[in-house]
Amino acid sequence: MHSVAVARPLEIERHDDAAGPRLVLRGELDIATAPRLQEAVDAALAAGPQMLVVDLRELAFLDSSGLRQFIVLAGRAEQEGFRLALVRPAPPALAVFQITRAEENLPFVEEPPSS
Amino acid sequence: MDLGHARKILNVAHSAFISMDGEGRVTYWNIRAEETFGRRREEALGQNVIDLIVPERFREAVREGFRRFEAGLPTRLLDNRSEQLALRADGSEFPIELIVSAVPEQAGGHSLHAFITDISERAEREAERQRLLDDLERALAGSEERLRTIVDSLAEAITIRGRDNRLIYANRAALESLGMDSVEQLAAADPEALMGPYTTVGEDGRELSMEDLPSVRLLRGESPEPLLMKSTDTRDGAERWVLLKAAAVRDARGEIDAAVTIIEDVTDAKRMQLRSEFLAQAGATLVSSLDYQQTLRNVAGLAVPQLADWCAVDLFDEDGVREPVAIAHVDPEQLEIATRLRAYQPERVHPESGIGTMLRTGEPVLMPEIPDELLERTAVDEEHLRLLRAARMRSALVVPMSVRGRTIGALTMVSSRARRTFGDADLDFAVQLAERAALAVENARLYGERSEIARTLQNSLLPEALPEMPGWEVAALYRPAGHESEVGGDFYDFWDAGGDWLMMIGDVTGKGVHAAAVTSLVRHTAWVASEFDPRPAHLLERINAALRRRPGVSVCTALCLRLSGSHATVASGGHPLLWRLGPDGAREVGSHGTLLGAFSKVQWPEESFELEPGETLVAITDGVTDTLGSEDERFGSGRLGELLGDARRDSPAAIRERLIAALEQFQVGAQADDTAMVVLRRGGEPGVSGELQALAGRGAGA
Repeated sequence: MHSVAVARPLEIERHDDAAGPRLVLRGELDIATAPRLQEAVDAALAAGPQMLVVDLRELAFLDSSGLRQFIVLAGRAEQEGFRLALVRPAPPALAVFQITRAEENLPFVEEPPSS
Repeated sequence: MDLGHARKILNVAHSAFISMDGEGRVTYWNIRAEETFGRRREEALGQNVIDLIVPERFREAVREGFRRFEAGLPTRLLDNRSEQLALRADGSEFPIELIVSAVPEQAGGHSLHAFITDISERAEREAERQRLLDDLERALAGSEERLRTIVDSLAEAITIRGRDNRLIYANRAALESLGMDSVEQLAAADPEALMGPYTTVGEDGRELSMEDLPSVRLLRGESPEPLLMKSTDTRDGAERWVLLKAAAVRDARGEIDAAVTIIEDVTDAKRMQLRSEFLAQAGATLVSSLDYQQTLRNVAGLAVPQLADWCAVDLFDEDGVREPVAIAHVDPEQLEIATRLRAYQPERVHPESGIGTMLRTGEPVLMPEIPDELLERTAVDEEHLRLLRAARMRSALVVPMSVRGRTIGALTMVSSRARRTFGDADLDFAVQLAERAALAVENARLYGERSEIARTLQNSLLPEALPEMPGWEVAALYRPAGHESEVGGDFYDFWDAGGDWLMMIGDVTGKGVHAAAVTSLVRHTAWVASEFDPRPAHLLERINAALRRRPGVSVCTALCLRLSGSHATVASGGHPLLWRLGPDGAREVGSHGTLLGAFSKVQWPEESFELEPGETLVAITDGVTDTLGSEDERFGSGRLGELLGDARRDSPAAIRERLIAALEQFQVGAQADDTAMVVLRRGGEPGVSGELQALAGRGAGA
């Protein structure tokens, strides 16, 4: 076992579309990178948009801390009254949503809603 | 470790709790221990625990256990939940459930800590149920006349439903509860109409119809599980919880002729369960935050409407000045009146009012009825009296929140419904709740050391030793990630539920005190729920409900496995599936169920199967498959499946070692997540006729 700490990168790209902010996630969302997504979400929601799109198509990995972010976000959408759309990831990131049956409980879409 | 801290946290448990030194001398004895063993704390402190609670004939064996422990030898009692006989101060004996943990002391040696639950009621209930079944069997073997005589004398209500769904027989107890005088009258009644004056809901709150009754389902050809339901008499609002169990009566050709239902009134047990769930929930809520004002508000919110229509918490500072901290009311309009009432000259507490009396005497105050004269007497002026009357208080109780003999606050519960007046049981419950609330406030005020609390909790959450399960070989692995002072989110547990074994493995998202509090709630909920109905799907459903009641988002995955002899049933709540290692390799069994605590659309499908002797089951948490290797690769279920397939003939301990070695070889960098695994192998030689073994196993388990 090596003792080298490996950086697990998560890239978050923000596009401000007409309908609202769209966050494109690339890389790995786990216990280490989840706080960064939260920051990006807070910043994106600061102006009180009508819709938030999170594009997960290029997400390579997701763990339970990452999943929790989307559960909290879905709760916020309901409470604060904005529309949330998650663009469905490819396997293996999709697997976590399937194992937990989150897939049928979270607002997934196939493509980002056209802006 | 500073035992002062540990005690405060462990007091959150509602079991009896005893601390002792390595030789058994009692150093701590909580209030529950006083009640359970009939001895005051002052009598117990400094005495040897063996002389206090162990019946004479077992004393030598227990002393031997202490000697083995001191000598560093393994002892069976340590970290294992077990059932024992214990002694009360009056010399009577009773069954207890016991778990003992050892904590190394800085000064050297160990201290021992025991959680003890009085299970005599559970044991009696079990014996009673068995007696009933025996009586019925005897009765059915005899003449019809004999059957009636025996069945009529039973306290339990029993009905028999014929093939046309009509009730054709009811014993005296059942007739009484249906409001009928004779079996003839009953037979003439329309079956739907019998349910007329009652509304019935299941444990999940869903309304039930006649089609859901076990007897009706049995006659339809299904094999129904026992049904726990709440029936409310719409005529007077009286609530009752009953457990319905149905058995088939078959004719000579083996066809179902009628269905016998045993109706057990479990209202008291269910109320106790609700209270105990509530206390576990409140305990978890209280230790999860050091912001005590917020947690007191959460606790007040939890109490309404389940336990009271109105719940309030006041704190008093060093000078006795009252500070209203939290209030919750079932009715938003009434909340305003209640809030104004509390804000009404808060510094002027009338000495004869509930809080005034409590402050004067330091004792809890129960007011089963609140007559108008009392309001008139305690009102400080006309406006105050108007508010008091508008608040429609029917019954109330006020209990002190005390820390080291000083009253730091008051917990008030009010009922405004005519049919719900408070009694001694409610008062006792409120005292326990206030005890926890006071500790939370004290902890928050005096100690900010989360890591200390976390360590204490970790000790209480992670039993290292495994139970002895007859007919099974067991191995488990737990590798926490991160710092020693943090509490991990993975857990596993085994317990005996009326002859069946239950295993649960789970993963609470997050780490630290919050995760520990949720873990403790999840385990507690599962234990209590399994007493009524040990089906895995039922346990997951109850855990989901308990997590959904918590403020904020508390989510958890869990896999629950029930073993009855060779028969296994499994269900997953968002957890990686169970692995079964058969002759042709390893494969996952069962289907995915919903993550617990997160969603409104839920399902927990169960899968049942028979295990051959020598067959092995493996449950893991996602820390195993998520382990990170070189080039961003994860260990994954493919590698795990291969490893388990190769290891299918190994012992559970060998499988565990193989997995550890494989993970360590694969892993690059520091371990990111907790990792847990449980391996169970059914005893017996493979190759012996599986069918025969399975039958033998079932016979022993039933």
